[in-house]
Amino acid sequence: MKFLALLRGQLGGIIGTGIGQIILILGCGYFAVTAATQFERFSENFGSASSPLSGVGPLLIFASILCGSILGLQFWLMSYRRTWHFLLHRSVSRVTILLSMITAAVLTLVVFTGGCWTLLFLYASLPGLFVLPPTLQVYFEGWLFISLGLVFFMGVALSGISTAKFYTTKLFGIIFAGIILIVTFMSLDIFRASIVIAAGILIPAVQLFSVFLNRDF
Amino acid sequence: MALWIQITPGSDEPIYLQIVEQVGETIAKGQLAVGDKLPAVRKLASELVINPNTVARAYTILEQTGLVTTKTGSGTFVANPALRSKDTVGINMLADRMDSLIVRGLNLGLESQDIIAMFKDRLEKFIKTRQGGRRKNG
Amino acid sequence: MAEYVLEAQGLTKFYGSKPAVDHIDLKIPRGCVCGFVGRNGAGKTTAIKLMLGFLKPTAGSSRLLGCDSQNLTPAIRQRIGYAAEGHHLFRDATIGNLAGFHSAFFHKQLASAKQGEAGWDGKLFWDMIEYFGLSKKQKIKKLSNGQRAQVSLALTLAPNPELLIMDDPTLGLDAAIRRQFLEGMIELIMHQGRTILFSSHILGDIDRVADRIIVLDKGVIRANCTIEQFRTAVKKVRFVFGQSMPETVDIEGLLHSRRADKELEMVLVGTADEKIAEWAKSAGVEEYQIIKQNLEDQFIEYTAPIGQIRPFAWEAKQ
Repeated sequence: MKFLALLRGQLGGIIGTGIGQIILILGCGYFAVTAATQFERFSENFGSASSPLSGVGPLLIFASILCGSILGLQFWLMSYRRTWHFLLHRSVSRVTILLSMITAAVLTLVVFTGGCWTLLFLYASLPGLFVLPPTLQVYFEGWLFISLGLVFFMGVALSGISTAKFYTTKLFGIIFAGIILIVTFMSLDIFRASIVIAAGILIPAVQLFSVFLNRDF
Repeated sequence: MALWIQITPGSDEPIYLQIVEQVGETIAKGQLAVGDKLPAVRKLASELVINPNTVARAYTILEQTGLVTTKTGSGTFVANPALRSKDTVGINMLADRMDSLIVRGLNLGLESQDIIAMFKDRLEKFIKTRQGGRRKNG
Repeated sequence: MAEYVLEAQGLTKFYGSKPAVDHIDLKIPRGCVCGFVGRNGAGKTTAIKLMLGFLKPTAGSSRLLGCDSQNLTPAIRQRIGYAAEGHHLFRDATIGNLAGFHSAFFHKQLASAKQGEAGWDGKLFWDMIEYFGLSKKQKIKKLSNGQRAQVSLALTLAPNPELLIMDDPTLGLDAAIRRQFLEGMIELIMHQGRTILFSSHILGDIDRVADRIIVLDKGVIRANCTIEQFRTAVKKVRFVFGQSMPETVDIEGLLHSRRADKELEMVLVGTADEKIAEWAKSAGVEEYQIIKQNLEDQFIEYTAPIGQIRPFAWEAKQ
């Protein structure tokens, strides 16, 4: 009950960001897919075979990172608006509070970003749209891109909650997320990329809990 | 009933003393008769927006000086003046105040007889008003 | 039930090399209404945050309702009402949203709450909101500071907290809203066993509502007594000398003194009237007067830095 209340308290941010995701992904994605169908016919004559959803890839990465970052921004805003004390003086543990904020981010990414991606994928898989429909591997890749959103959520959140005085130390969370992003794209295969992303989520997550539970507010 | 007590917060007079004085004044003026009920502690505290302990303190002092009596469960009532114990502290304070009035009168250039005459005059006027008040309530 | 609802032992917090709070010892009994006063920067907010477990002490410890401040259990937090400085609430929420959010952390009905647990009094909340002239759909970001403070007050009082801690709740509020705060506090006091600790700069409010006064000065507690004791103890006396004033003044309880011409003004703490008369006689004082002061005057004198120069005066125009 209390956990649900905590989630509902974040509903505004979830829905707002979610709608933004819908507009961005479904809106721009639709055009990207349509362009890809044209391109496929065009490139058929030249024998090159690129993934039909390759145009959507960068869009999805951008949207996911944007989504994760906006949700992570909460941790900055609450310090700026001084509303931490209102949230922290609840009859729940600090762990529960942090978990609710992470859950909200995950839910938004899964339901909105992931939902849009799934819809887009299904649309692109419609028989007759593409000669070579996108493969399941592409679908899974898309989810990897979405989890980059979670990487940036963790990074932005960690930076927001950090009490470091020097700018570089404070922004370490975001810098780390950026590094993860670069290393992901340098990875040779999906498996290695997944490991990098998992590290990019788990390492800052551990830090996030540690700082959140121990810092002065 | 409680409208006639007003406190000045931030005054150099402690709030409980203000209440004691005002109740005392009201009883002296005859606006409260023997047996009349004082407002309940909580009600007065609520109206004046002060701590109920302060009201309770004032009532305790009034009881000690014999102006009121408290019956547990019923409330606080104006006491019979005949039953008032000798309040030496109060009488000493009264003497001090009389002294300051005398000083003022003499500084204004009044003679002793003038001061006595003035005092008699004010006292008579006061008793007349009190009796008038009593008739209204009676 | 615990006898002391708030305890602190040697509570200390350093920021860098300066102590914001310096070895505070406190024991506040159940049912007490404590006014927590101090000059700006005295450390009141830091002390309160330490006690609520928002800050980690450099040394010492504190307990609320018998529970260590650094490990306040959810059950204990439920019984403590807290209004932080500035009454900051979620800006994008409506009053209704906040009520729903806040109430979820208490038992649904006041009546069904078990002994020692806090229940949400929805009727009280909405009665207060109506009394303040506010409505369910209003967004917090559209409210003025005063209105936000009203919402914060309603949220804090509705669960009928056993222990209420308010950090400068009336800062920046107009007289009418301040009065509402006091009324709310008085109502809470009427309930048995409610304890309130509130900090304020308005000594008049403290005088009205509090039983005890705690004076914090540069992180140190300089007074912790009933209002009456404080008012009786702090005395300002003006002495007039016929001839020469003594070079040094030696009287028990002297806090500070000011000299001017043939006059000596002293602030004394805890000095009996007889002792003052004695000293006056021995020092050859012509006449003296104990100056009547209200609580604010006394607080100012009590916390004035020792050796303070009189405030500057404009040069008289020729």
